[in-house]
Amino acid sequence: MEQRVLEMENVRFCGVVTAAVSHEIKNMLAIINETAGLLDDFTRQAEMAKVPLEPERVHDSVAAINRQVRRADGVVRHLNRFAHSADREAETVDLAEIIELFVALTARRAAACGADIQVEPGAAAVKVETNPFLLLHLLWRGLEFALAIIGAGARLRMTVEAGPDGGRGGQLTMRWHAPAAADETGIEFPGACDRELLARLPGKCLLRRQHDGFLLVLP
Amino acid sequence: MRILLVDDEEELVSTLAERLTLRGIDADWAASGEEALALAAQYKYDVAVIDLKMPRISGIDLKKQLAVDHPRLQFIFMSGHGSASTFRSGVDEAGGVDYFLFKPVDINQLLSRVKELVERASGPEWQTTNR
Repeated sequence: MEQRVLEMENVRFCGVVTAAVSHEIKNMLAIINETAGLLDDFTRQAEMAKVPLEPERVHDSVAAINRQVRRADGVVRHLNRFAHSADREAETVDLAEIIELFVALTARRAAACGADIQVEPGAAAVKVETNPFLLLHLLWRGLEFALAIIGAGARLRMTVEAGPDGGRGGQLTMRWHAPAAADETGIEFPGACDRELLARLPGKCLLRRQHDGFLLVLP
Repeated sequence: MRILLVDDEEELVSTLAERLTLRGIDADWAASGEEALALAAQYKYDVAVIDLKMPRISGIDLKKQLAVDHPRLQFIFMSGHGSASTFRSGVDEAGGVDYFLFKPVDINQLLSRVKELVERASGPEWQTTNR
């Protein structure tokens, strides 16, 4: 695969992630906007009727704004971690942290397709030397493949385990439980781009398709 | 005038509905396409304000279904898109849309769009009855 094609796919991946996050942030801003507007409505009503504001309504509105600020902070934190995933070609990462970030970035995308994506508790602190950006990109392509074949109401589960050879390295699994999974979608996984991403991850990595998911082994 | 607000962000539609109610508009809200279809089967709405991106039943699919079941219903889309061009490409497949608003929504702009649509929809009827 040409370098240029892979670079375009990397840019496309960045675009999809930032578009999804910006939509989420817009929603939070919209809620803050409406809640502030509601507070203003209450104030105007109180002024016109010359009655005091009801403290409980004010407290509820302030609590709603605070909730959205905390939610937005979480989303922006994840976006920041994603942006920094491209800082270095290789670094030591905790795989559990990577999939936690991955699920945070993609849960809404999965939900839009009627699927639920969750991380199952696995081995503690599995650290590998990898390129976090390329790894996230590869996982995203695996997710897009899964979303194309599973029907609404499907469950996607991700796990992290220590590597198979004496605990060195680690392995990531994505499995789906889909009552209406399609056999033929015309989409291939791993395709040429996925294999190229795999080849560019540091060390000798392995990606194996299984009937209900895939396994990624990292050295 | 009765309007239906649909968005999977429950806090957004419930607050928007409360603000519209304070302005004398009958506003109901639904947090999913399924809930919206159930409400529309129960009550007669003049305008549906629908979020474009929703899980399971998307805003576009909901609009298509509501338009078949309730031919006189008018539609406004809400979106978190950043520009009209990216938004337009998303709604073209919905067979057109009367209006769209970007989030965060300006309530006065929403009100004027709703009133405009209701007046436009009731126009021909008024002319017919006054001939």
